Parts: sequence; structure tokens; C-alpha cells
Amino acid sequence: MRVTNKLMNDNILKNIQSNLASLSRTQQVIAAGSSILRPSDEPNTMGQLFVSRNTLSYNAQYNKNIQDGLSYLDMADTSMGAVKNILDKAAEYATQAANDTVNADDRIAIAEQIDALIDEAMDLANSAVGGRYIYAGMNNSNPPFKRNGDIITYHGDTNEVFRQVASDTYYRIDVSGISTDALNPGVFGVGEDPDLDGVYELTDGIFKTLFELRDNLNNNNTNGIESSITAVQTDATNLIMKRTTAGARYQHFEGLQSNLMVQEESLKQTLTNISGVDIAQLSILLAEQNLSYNASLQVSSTLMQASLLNFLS
Amino acid sequence: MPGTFFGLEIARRGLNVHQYALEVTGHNLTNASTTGYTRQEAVFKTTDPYCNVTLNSSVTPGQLGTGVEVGSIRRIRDEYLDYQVRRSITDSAYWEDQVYVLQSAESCFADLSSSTGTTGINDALVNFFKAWMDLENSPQDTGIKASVAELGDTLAKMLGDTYNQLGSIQNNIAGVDITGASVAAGMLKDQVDTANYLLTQISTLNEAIKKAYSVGQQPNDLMDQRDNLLEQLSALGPVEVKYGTDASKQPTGDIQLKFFGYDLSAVSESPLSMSVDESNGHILLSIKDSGGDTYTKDLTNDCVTETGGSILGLEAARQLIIGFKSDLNEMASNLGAMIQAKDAIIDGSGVFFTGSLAGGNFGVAEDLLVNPSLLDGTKAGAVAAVRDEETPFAGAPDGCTVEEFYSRLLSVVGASVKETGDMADVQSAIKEQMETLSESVSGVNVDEELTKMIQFNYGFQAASRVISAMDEMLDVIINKLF
Repeated sequence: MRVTNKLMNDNILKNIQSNLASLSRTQQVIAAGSSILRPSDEPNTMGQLFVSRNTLSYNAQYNKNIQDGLSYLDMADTSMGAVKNILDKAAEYATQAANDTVNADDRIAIAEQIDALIDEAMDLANSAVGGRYIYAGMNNSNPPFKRNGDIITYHGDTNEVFRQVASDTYYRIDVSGISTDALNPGVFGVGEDPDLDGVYELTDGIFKTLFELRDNLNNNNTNGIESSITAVQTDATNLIMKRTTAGARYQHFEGLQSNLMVQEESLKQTLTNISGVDIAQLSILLAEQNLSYNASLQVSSTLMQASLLNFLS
Repeated sequence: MPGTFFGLEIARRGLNVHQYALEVTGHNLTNASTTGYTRQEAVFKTTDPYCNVTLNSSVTPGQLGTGVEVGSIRRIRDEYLDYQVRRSITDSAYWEDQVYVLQSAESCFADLSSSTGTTGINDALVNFFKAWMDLENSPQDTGIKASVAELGDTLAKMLGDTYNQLGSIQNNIAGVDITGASVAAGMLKDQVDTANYLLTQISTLNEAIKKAYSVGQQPNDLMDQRDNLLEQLSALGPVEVKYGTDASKQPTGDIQLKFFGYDLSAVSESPLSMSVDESNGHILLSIKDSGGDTYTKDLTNDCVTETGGSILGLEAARQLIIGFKSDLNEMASNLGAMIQAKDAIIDGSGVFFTGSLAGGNFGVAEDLLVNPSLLDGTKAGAVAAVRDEETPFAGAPDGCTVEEFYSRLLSVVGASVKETGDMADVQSAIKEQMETLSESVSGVNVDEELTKMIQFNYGFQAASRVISAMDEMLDVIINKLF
């Protein structure tokens, strides 16, 4: 084929340009740390890429929710443990007071201690995590239990609190403070709201038991004290049941959390497989491309200077 | 017998011819870098031999030569290669302009532009749903409600920005006049204007070349110009050229030119014009042919089936961009409708997003931005679950989630850039190959011309030598014999 100077120069320019373009591309990939810089680089992997990226992002949210659940349940466990101690103490006092050697004045003194225990239990019933009261159901931005003299009212609601731990999968993170179902009482017993004003009166449960115990002590009613001891024990059994449930949920959440971590690992691996870069490999590639760029410049400068003109006198 | 001074005449012809050839070589050398220049060659031929055949003529051995003359100045060019070059230019231009436009459309989708990827619509969408999930956890929290409204606003603005950027690219291709009847501006209009200019230029050149031919000349440089213009024209649309011949099959210098299949060999001003079909928004190209008849070509319909020239290529790219826009618009309106169905606004309307991208007013409802506490926190879970809800789209009738639809849109955008890019690469490689072949035939090689220069220089010197030899001989005859 006949070769002309213009042809050769055009080719030189084209080759230098294409060498430079591949150098620039490799530089961009290394700098961005991703082999997919535009959708057109790998149009077929867009779906997979975004699903992995989005799942990772949502998993962070689920992880946050699980963390939330763990702290709720942790607080529930701690507070129920403390309430259990109060009940134990109350039972101990009551057993002590039931003794015939104790006189009426002593019983009144013990009654005062029971009253103090009621206040203590009130504080525990108003436990909160991050400004949210854990025994208040969904209406949880204010302390749910209020004591007015000998009447304790509940200002939360009976909704259960859930957290989303995976797409469309919800788990309960709270333990009901009260319930309206006498057969299945909450931690602090049963309440009812006949006038539907959002204020529940407690009809059964720890507070009622403790008030009765205190009143029996004040009234020096030994039979009453005996039956209060049984009531306190019933409440303690109920509490242990609730605490066991919370413990089981806690374990479940911990399991979910480690599952998420495993999933995160594999998603990140997928992302790396789709768009990751091998810096070592790319560095070698860059060196190769740089070499061929330099070589093409070198050859071009030699070629462009060659002409018959240099040899004509 | 020839006359006494006959040898001088032969040498004079030699001088003339070599000077002529040197001038042609000079013309070639100086035009070595001229676009569209075809190398020329002075074709030497011997002049008619000396003979006078009559009954009385003496019988001399053979016929006596009478020297040399330049028969013609030939353009070294291959018409069949020209045809192939024009064809390949038409094919590659269709894809090359599309790539350019689609790449700018692709860059409107910023989702992959940074390695952390916090810039795109996809991330805005994810953050928006995550805000709803936060609100689900704290249904009364006004701070989170405000952030839901704010992130919704960010998402809406991002969708709007991308939509508008695509819109301005679409307008850069063809700015359709508000009245809807004409194409007022844009690359497409520029190209049609260029085509008009080229067509009238070619017509003018045609006339000039025909005239030169009629007086027996070959106007090489005008023909180069015409071939160059034909190549430019073939980048805009398919060109067919037939060279005219007279009754004795000799070329007349005339060409019959067909553009988009219509005869436009002899046109006055602006044979092409564009308009818009108001009923369907199609762009129409009216072509007034040499015979004065007007034909209408529906570019919007034809850009899919015919793949030649940048006018159709640009229209094809424009259709793709219109498709991207309508996908984006559908995505926004479906998202709005799905959220509205969850009825998560306390006033009962359920309207979170109002307006539409196509209407240019897509956004979070004004009263929600002012007063985000109108959001119903107890419905937040249902809204957050919209992300997993499948809904039918025009492009995905079986239904998919909004996020899936968006990544699908990006796949489509990416694939269109990749496909047209690959096609453009292939076609321009073919074009380069053709141009290389053509350049190989018609291009100027400086070394070759220099060699010829030396050759003609010596030829000139040799002819001069003949004159001085004749001079010495005549000197003997005239001055020294007697």
C-alpha cells in the first residue's frame, strides 16, 4: 500500500490519542477506587450493584433498629430485676411483719418502708431509654405512671412497640407496662380506661398488691398480711415470666445482629466483585500503558523527522 | 524530411513539458496538507509522429518522433473508493453524534460519579425511605418529621434537576418552538442549515464544472472541492452520486446527486426545511427536489429504521432522551401515588409529593414543608414499606419497585451509551480504513513528489542540453560550412 505523509501523521496522532485515553481511564479508575465510573461501563450490573448498595444502606438502618431493640430490652431486663428485688424485699418485710412477735407500731413502721418501696417501683416503672419510656407503649414521650396519693394512674397506651429488623419483618422490643387483659397482665399489672380518656386506672398488679400490703400493715390485719404475701409471690412469678420473655427476645436480637454482620460481609464482597479495583494489577497496567505511550512518542518523533529533504543538497 | 530547425522544436517541447510537470509537482507539494486535495499528475504523451505519407514520399525507416506534450492533468482518484468512503462516513456519523449526546445525558445521572456515592437519585431515594423508617421508630418526633419532609424535598429536587438537564440536552438537539410548529434552534437545525449550504454549493460547483468540461478542460481543483463537499454532506445523510456522461459515454462533469433518496442535483436556496407535526410531536423534514416537487420525510419515524447520517442519528438520540425523561417522570408520579395511597398525612389528603416532573413543579406539598408535623407518624411504617412494593411501569408491566425501576433506567441509559459507543467505534474504524485507502490512492507523498521534482528537473536540463547540441550543429551549418 502506498503510504503518504498525511496518512502517517494522522495515524501517529490517533495512536498517541488512544494511548493517552487508556492512560487517563486507568488513572480515573485508580483515583475513584471503582471500576465502574459510568453506567455505560457495565450496564448489565447496574441492578446488582444498586441492590447490593441499597441493601447495605438499609441494613445499617436495621442494625440501628436492632441496637434500639437491644437497649430497650436491656433496660427492661435491668428494671424488671430491680422490681423483682423490691418484691422480694416486700415479701421479706411482710413475712417479718406476719410474725406474732411484731406489734402494731412495728407494723406501721414497716408499712412506711413498703410505701417507700412503692415509690421506688414507680421510678422503675418510668424507666426510659433515650427519652422514650419503655413501659409506655407507643405513647412514650412522657412518664406513663403517675402517683397521686394512693392512686396510681397509667398515661401510656397498650400498643406494642416493634422495630423493623429486615425487610417487612418486625419484632417486638418492649414488654407491656400494663395490659387490659386480666389473664395476661403486664409487668405492672392490669388497667382499664372505661371513659377512654387515655388515663388508665390500675385494677390489679404490683402497685395494688403493695398498697394492700401497706394498708394491711397499717390496719394491723395479720390475715390480710398473709394473703398479701401470697399476692406478692404471684406478682413475682408473673415478673419472672416477663423477664424470661425479654431475655429470650434479647438473645433473638443478638442473633439477628450477627446475621446482619455476616450479610454485610457478603454484600461488600459482592460489591467488590462488581466494581472493586485491584490496585496492584492496575499499577502494573498503568506502568505498561505509560511505557507504550512513551514509546509511541519516541517512535513518532523519529518518524516525523524522516524526509527526503534531509538528504537533498 | 523534417525542416532544419525541427530538433530545436522537439527540445522546446521538452522544456515546456518538464516545466509544466514541475509546476504540477509544486502544486502537489504545497497542497500536501490540504483537506480533500487529490494529487495530480501531468500525463506526458508523445506528439504525433512526423510523417507525410503520399505516393511520392521517400521511404524512411519508421516514423520520426516529434517530442512530447502534456496530454492532460489527471486527478489520481478512485470513484469506487469515493462511494465507499461516503457510505462509511454516513454510517459512522449516525452513531458518533449519538454517542456525544448520550454521554452528556448519561452524566446527568450522578449515582456513580463518586466512590462514596452520596450524590445520586438512588441514594436520595434510600435516604428518604430511611427517614420514614426513623419516623416509624419515633412516630411523634417532630425533628424526624422535618427531616422526612426535607429529604423528600431533596429527592424531588434531584429528580427535577436531572429531568431538566435531560430536557436541556433534548432542546440542544432540537429546540421546538413554543407554538409547536417549527424547530427554532438546536444541533438538528444547524445540521439542516449546513446541508442546505452544502447542497447549494454543490449545485453551483456542478454548473462551473460542466462549463469547464464543455470546453474540453478538466477542472481538477473544483472537482476536489465538490468531492469534499459531498463527503461533508454524506456525514449528514445518505448521499448517492451518479456521474453524468454524454451520448458517446464521455464524462460531462455533471453529477446526479440524491440526498435521502431525493434528487437534489440542481437546487437554488434552502431545499430542506424542518417542521413539527403538532399532532404527535414528530419532526418532519420537507425536501424540495430538483424538479420542484416537495416531499416530506418523518425523521422521528425513520430514525429507528434508517441508520445513516447525523440528522437521523441526532433524532434517534433525542428519542432516547425523551424516553429517559418519561421513565423518570413515571417513576416520580408512581412514587407519589404509592405514598399517597398510604394516607400518611394528618389532613387526610395523603398528598406528599405534588405536581409532576413533566409539569416542572414536582415537589413536596408546600404545607408539609412549612409544617412537617402534619405527617402521621403511625403510617410511617407503611410508607417505608413502599420501597418493597412492586408497581407496574410502562417499561416493566409486570411491576417492580421504585428502586429497581431506577437501576433499570440506569442500565438502559448505560446500555444505550455502550451500544452506540461500540457501534460508533466499529463504524469509525471502517470509515478510517476507507479513508486510509482513499488517502493511499489520492494523498500526496512528499518524498515521492521530491523524487519526481528531481526527475523533471533533470528532464528540463536534458532538453536544454539538446538545444545547445542543436545550436552547435546549426552553428556548423550556418557559420562554418562556407
